[in-house]
Amino acid sequence: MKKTKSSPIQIFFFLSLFIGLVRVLELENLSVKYKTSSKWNLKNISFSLEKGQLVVFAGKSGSGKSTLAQAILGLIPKFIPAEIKGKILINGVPTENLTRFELIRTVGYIPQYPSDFITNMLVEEEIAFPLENLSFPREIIHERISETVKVTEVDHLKNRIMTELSSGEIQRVELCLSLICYPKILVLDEPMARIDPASEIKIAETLKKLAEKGHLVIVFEHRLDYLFSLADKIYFIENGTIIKSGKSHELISELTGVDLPEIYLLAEKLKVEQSLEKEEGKKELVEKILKLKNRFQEKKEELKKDKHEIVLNVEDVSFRYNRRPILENINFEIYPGNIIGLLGINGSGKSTLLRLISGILKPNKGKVLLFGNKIKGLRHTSKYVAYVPENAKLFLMGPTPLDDIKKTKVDLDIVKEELSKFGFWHLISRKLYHMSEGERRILAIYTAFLSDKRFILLDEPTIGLDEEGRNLLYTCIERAKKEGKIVIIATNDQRILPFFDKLVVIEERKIALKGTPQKILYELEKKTKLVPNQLVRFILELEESFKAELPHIITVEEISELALNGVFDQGGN
Amino acid sequence: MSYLLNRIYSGIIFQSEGIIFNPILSIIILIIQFSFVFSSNIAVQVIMLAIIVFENIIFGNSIGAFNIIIAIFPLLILLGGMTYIFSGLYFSILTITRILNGGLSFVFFFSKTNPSELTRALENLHFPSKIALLPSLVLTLSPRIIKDAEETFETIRLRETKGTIFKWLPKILAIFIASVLYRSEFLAQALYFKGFGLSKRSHYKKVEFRKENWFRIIIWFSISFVLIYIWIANLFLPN
Repeated sequence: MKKTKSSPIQIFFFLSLFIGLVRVLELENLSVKYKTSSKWNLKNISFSLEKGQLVVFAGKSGSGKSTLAQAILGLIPKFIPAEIKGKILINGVPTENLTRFELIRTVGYIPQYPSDFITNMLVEEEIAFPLENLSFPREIIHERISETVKVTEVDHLKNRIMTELSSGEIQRVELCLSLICYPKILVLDEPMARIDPASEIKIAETLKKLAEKGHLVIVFEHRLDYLFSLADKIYFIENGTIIKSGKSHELISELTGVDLPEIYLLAEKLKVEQSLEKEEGKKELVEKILKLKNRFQEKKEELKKDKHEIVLNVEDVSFRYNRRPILENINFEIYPGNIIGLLGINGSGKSTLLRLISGILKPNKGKVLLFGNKIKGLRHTSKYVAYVPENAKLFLMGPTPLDDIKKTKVDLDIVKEELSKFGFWHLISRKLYHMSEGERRILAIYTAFLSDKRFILLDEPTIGLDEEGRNLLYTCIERAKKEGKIVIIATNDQRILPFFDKLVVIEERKIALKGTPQKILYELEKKTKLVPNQLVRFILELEESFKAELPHIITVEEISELALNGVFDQGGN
Repeated sequence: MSYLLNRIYSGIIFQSEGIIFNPILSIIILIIQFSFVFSSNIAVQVIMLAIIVFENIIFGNSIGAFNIIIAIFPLLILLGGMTYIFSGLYFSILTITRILNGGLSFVFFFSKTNPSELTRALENLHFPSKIALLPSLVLTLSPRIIKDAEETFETIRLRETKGTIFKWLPKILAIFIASVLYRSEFLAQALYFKGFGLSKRSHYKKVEFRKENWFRIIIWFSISFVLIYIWIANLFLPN
């Protein structure tokens, strides 16, 4: 039999087919400029991604992560007017040549604001909606719903009303929705922004499993606590350009402005030479921490103060919303200069408690006393309270942040100096709708702290904030404490916890724990369904496996400050 | 204001756990109810009101109905009072019962109609999907818009308490409208990305016709005859 030789054209064809099968997404010199912008928002972005990968695009707030996500999905320029140069290829086909049907079947998407993507009343119907639109048979829709709700653990939410879910719950429903068409590519824009650490771990693990099953999972995120070690590749974006890329361990010391896993930072600060994945590395770390043990002082429980000093008293408060009990028998008191954190899983009632304190809501039972007087509504509280809701853009009233800041009568030079230090001054005259979510939020928070109100209430203040935004927030909190202001923060973000004097943990409508951050975090997993931050979990794990009593640190800074004081220089390590 | 918005929200939000009525039947009954709202016969209005209240109570929407009465109470006082001053007691009662009938029938429709089922039912009647989805979006998004308005109002009132309503209301409206327009952009993106309008839609659930629907049919069709009879008879009565 005559052996036929493949022609170069055939080889090229099969090679391209093979590359096409493996390379799911390719970008060639992509540049994007919004119609409202004078400069290019993305510049010469090129990469190719294969199936079966979990890829993270990390970068500061406003670095161009969401723009890149929207360009890949074709939302730019279809919905957002912009000039585009370069190519985006999905399975080797330019996106402009893909039909909408092909695009939806190939790419699943979770936007940055999932609540704006709600189109149906009930969770189950929201999940079924894309399949109904794509004419799937009823039996298959039922099959897929029962499968995806299990994978994303939203089974219990199926019959709930979408608008009554917390933002974290909506996030999980949208993840379920994005998987319902079995897409090859999954694009997630800041999926970790609104969720508690327990959900963060679950979602990160789910995404990894999906990648292992052959999906290409692309995450645009700056909270990398759990994604960092799971990601196959990380791209770092700054000012619209990819400046670094590689495997997680290659980039640990190079990434700036994003939230890196605290255990890696701890190992780096303590100069641990071996990998923490190995037993030797852990042992080395334990030895180094033990050297610092004597120097470490745990934050003491606040001494009982005089009852007359109480500025806010929540007495036996219960609240129901739309016939559903949200909070039951809540009791706690606040003294001047207290920084209080409200912690709880998504939908636990933290935001409701803030709204009760602000006077927006009235309790069904019990009372909230402000300076000893029962709160009588907004007219009463507005003299004392500044409240920045989760939807922070509602707080700023002027077309630009400058208009709001001017009303506070604070010297503009001081504002300029402070905002310039953290890199936000250039945003001061920008229109609110032309900013990223994180930029809007930090400027709303900053304005709230500039006001003369004694109580600053913040609902999920760290959503969308990068490192600089966080640092500005921490500066504001410290200054407020010195001025004797009271700051109450409802949050899922445990990186902010060290700044609190007291934590109030809400679970199943009631207060489950109260106390200092150290005490609470090290008891959290034992006494509640909540999960402490990665660092605390790691210390607990080390304590158990090495049978050592380690200091109860909750931040890397605590121990690195001690380390800087010369222990390792003297100790030879 | 935020208290009223909260009441309206609680009144019109869909109650997924209670009895849900066939959407087409609900629309027909709503049309019947609204046609009788235009009657100037006080007996017609009072009988209607009694039935609507009864219906709200027995089908588990008493709290929703109560909430909406509280929400429209200032309107009832204002319009009822003005008609009493200018046109007398008869017209005042007529105005109040008309507003109550309109409000309560609307609330019943909102809280007892599953928006997605309404889309499916209209599609079964061969309405194009793009038209069939519109009433469903109205039912889904109205409570959200009210909740948005409530949140905007609360946040801004907490900041700006000085001045009259004419000072802060325009600010609230400007921010609220900007926020709604901003959201509408995302709604368009969501429908695009969820494949809406791509092909003929399939339905993952059938539109059910539960036995409670028969109760409403009997009540409303028989009452319609009685009301039409009263209405017509009244037309022929000598002044």
